[in-house]
Amino acid sequence: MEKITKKTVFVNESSADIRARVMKARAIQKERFTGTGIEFNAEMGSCQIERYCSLNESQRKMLLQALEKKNISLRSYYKIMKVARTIADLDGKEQIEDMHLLESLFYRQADEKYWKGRG
Amino acid sequence: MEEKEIPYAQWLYRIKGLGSKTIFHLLDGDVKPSRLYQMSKEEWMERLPAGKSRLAQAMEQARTQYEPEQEYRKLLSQGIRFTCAGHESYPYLLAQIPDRPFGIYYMGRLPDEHRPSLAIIGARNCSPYGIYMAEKFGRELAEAGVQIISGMARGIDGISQQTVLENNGYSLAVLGCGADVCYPAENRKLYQRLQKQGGICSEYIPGTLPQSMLFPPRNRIISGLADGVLVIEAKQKSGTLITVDMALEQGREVFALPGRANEPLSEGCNRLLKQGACMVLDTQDILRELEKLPRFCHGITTALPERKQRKETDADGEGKGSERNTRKPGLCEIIRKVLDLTPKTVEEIRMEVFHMTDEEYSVSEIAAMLMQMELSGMVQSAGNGGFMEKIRF
Repeated sequence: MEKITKKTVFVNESSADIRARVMKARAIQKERFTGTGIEFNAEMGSCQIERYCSLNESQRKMLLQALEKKNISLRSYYKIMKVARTIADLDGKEQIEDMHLLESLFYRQADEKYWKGRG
Repeated sequence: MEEKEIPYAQWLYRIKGLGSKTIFHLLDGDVKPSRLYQMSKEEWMERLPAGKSRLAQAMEQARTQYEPEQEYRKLLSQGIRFTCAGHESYPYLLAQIPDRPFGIYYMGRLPDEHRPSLAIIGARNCSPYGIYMAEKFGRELAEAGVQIISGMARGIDGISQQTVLENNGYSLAVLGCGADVCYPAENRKLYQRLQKQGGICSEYIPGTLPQSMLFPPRNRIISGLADGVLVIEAKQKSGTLITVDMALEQGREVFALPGRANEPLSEGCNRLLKQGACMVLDTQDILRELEKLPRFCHGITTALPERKQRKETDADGEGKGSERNTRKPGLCEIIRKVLDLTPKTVEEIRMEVFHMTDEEYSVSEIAAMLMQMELSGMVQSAGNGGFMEKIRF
């Protein structure tokens, strides 16, 4: 009986709230890239990634471990860092935290096909 | 047949319109291919089966355009070899099937006839269950010294072959295109590794591109090269079951892995079992049957080596990682309870976690935790965003 009365759908964040968060993240990025000729995290080159997406020692280790375990290319490595930066921006955090990095890794995983290019 | 006959046999095999049946007919009465090469057109017309005498024209043309030894050297330089029925390198098991090809092209090496071979086949679009089973059997059979034959297709075929190679076993891929063509392209790494550590073979002339009509005939070679066929996952109507039909016609042992009754991917297997296929629950089930084969009456080495100790260091090193994310202690344990062998999406996991604890975690939190758990080997991704319990053998 108890199960039936439990809700089956979450009330998620409203679109208006999400929009506000996104606008804030964009403002952060605009400020960050003032004078660099780019506007968004997505446009960062490898030097900028090293500069703006700094990871601490344990995070770097974790990412390298994921790289090896999941056959991630160096190209994807940078993409993951950029996405982690954006997730941190959406969260309003200056420094990328473990959670952000893990979530970023997760998104890469989400559209992985059942066939993982083994071998 | 002697080695020097091979280039001439290959010349004969390449002639358009000349099928294996006709070739066997032409060589009837122990005629050597090199002798055939030297015959006059009239002699050919005499030898060709009734109604096929016009093929002598094609043969004549092939003789003027093609220098057998030179062309065969070209093939060798590409790493491709040719063997034909009657030659000692022609696989012993294949020689026994009624519609055997006259010749096959191969790279790497062909199976050792003194060791048992097993074909592992199954769906391209397999489920996580199929993947684990293909890996489990691939590994254990490789350790037992069984040679694995398959089609290098996406899904079960490729996975089992890959696992065999990873465990230092021998595997042979039978392709539905030329042996020098890698199809499917996504299996290129496997293809390259097979060349070195196993073999790749095809009855089709090098350079032949994959075509749908070429695949069913190659299935007879897969089963023909094996002592038995193991079906991991198959739908009721599938290419896999075509191979099983061929195996039965050839008198090969059929092994099937049972699945759930309502699972379409296991329907083919379950029905085979109902019809009397050998039910396989573990590798010993297969080895026991293979041992009974007349050709192994003197015994085969099937003792499974002591299972290697799992690398626990991995899990240990990462165990510390699970404390890294201490924001919500206990989430890890709850997710472990929620997950089983059926893949679940993040949203489903989130809902079940909520039902268990009354705590509402964000998608990000669940996603990050799943990722961390995957890195430490506690859960595994089932693709398409689904997660499931990590299976350990």
